[in-house]
Amino acid sequence: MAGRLAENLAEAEGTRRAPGKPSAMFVRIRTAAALAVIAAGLGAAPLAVRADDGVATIKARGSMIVGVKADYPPFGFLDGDKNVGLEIDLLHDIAKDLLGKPDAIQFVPVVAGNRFQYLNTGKVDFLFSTVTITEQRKAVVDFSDPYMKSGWQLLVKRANSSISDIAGLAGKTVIVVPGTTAEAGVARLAPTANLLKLAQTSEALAALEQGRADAFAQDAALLYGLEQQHPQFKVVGPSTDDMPIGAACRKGDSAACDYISKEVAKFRRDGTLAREYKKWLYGAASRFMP
Amino acid sequence: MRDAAPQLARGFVLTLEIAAAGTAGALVVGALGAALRVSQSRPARVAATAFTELFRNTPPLVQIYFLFFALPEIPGIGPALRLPSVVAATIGLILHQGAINVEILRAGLEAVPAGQREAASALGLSRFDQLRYVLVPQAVRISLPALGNNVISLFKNTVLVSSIGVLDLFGAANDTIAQILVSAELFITVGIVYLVCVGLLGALFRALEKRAALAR
Amino acid sequence: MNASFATALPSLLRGLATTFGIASAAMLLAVAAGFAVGILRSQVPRLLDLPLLAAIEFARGIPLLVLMYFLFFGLPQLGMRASSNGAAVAALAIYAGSLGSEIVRGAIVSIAAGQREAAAALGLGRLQTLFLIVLPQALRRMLPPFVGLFALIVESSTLASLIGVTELLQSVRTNIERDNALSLPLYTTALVAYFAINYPISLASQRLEKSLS
Repeated sequence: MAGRLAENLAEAEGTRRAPGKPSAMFVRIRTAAALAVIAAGLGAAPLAVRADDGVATIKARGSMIVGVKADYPPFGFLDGDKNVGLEIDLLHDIAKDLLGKPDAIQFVPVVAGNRFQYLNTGKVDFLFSTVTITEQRKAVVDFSDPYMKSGWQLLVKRANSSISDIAGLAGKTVIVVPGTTAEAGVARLAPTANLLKLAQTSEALAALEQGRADAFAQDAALLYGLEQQHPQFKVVGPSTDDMPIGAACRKGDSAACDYISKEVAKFRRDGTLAREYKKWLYGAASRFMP
Repeated sequence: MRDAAPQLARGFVLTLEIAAAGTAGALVVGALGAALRVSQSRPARVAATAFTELFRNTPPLVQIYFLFFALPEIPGIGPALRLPSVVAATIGLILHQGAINVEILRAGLEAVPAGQREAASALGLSRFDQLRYVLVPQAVRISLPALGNNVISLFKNTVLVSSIGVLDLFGAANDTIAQILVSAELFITVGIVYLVCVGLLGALFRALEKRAALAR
Repeated sequence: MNASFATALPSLLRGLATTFGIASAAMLLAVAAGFAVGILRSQVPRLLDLPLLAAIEFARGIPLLVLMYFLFFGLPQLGMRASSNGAAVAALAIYAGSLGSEIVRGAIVSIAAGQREAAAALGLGRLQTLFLIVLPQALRRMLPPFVGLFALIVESSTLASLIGVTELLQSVRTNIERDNALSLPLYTTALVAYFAINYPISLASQRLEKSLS
């Protein structure tokens, strides 16, 4: 008896041969009812994240909690364990002005597929992770003024690719990152392409290298950086959907983003923005500066 | 969210397909592995044990990542091992749940009364035929509860396929959320679907157990 | 490439420590919840048992990953804060706790019948029977499956990487992100590491079962 107990529970998932069990149908109705109650509660409850002054919250805490990219050179990536990149440097400059300490920042790595959930559930004060400003997104979040502009392009293998623009994607396999404007763009402009969805940049590159796909559609800024680091690839195609990129805040809670807008204007005036862009993008700076 | 319904429905169908293929594959792996584990030949036993312990004791998520990302990087034969994501994910599930099945069926085989094997060999059946027609079917009947639990486990584990970009029900839900920024309601709906499916599977196996008990 | 592996090592070890941390926390909660619910279920009449049964069926029927996502992204909408680690431990504890309660209840039920009659003949009350006679014997039967449960928790902890917990699997993936040449060596290392943890536990569970039955 104990043998059967252990065998069932250690290997599978516990004996379902419980004496006097109610019928499966009854139990299902019960659980569905419980879930319906929870669902009703969730629908009724307001988004219980503090909608007051985001800047005051940050000041009171003494540090900013920011959603950033950790796989996106040269904008947000990791050098060892340190967060570095163009956006990271801008954040240090902002922290210095807001809190007096450039290092009073907690970096939370996010990816395009989950960053808005992180923002809307209050896990970060705001997003500074190459978020493209679109009309659709403006309906759900507030943005700062843009600190960057970019579109998306295609990365292909230099050696054997015949693809030179979006039209060439017809019927081919294209890697996209879930939640990006490139993903929506490819679906819109090349509807016959097969989409291979991978969350991390390195995985996308490996898949392209291994020949699992014919092209990688992503932010032009990222692709230029990748082309420099990995000469076996090249960027092709015109830049599509050129759009501004800004910080994102929760709807109705835009104090932090307004502050950032002021900071961006200041960085433009005093040359900080130009300096950072030259540091991270060299000659390509003018293409991405707004 | 209405626009998401077709993608979610396709995802659900894919979940069912992966679950079905996975269950069938895991059963085959389980039966073969269990037969090898009680085999007369020592190398067969050792190989089967090594396989079982390796795939039973490592997380299915790591196995799936390995099959998809690491296999093609093996020097030399790598490029030939480039598996499409659905295939890599399904194989990962088959290996892990299959290894669990091996243990279940091995215990089941040991629980078959010795008289059965003696009777079968008295009838002149080869070892393979003994297993196939007498021992394994009875082992399956004896292990039905544990096998059923493993099928349910596999069904729940299909959500892991979304980690390599497969658009099963959970993957499609995450994809929808990433694109249209809606959240908790979709997880609840998806959760209810899985609960209902698990409930149906459970009822199915209880009915099978009743039938198996009657047939003895 | 060997240099890269060496630089990855510290973060991998940190990830391993996190894996043990959340697995242990979840195990403690699961054992506590398992005992509470399992004992309760073995004593209460059928009608009161139904809500508990529904809760257990829910915890066992929902895929663990869906539960983690729901706790991590859904709870804040109810006003509760949920960190990655917190949501992961909570989800693991709920899932393992439901299995734990079945282990406890199953062990109690497997002992109860004849002992209860003997205890009644000796004049012992219901609770006395439970705590003085049944539980001490049931504990021995619970040990092997609980040991196996810990292995299951460690195995399931890999899912926490998908909600941002920097446990071992996530550390592996972050290092691979930096240098894709590490993909094969690090994924292999991950398999070996988890095997090195779970295989001994699995063996221990089997040995315990043999020696205790």
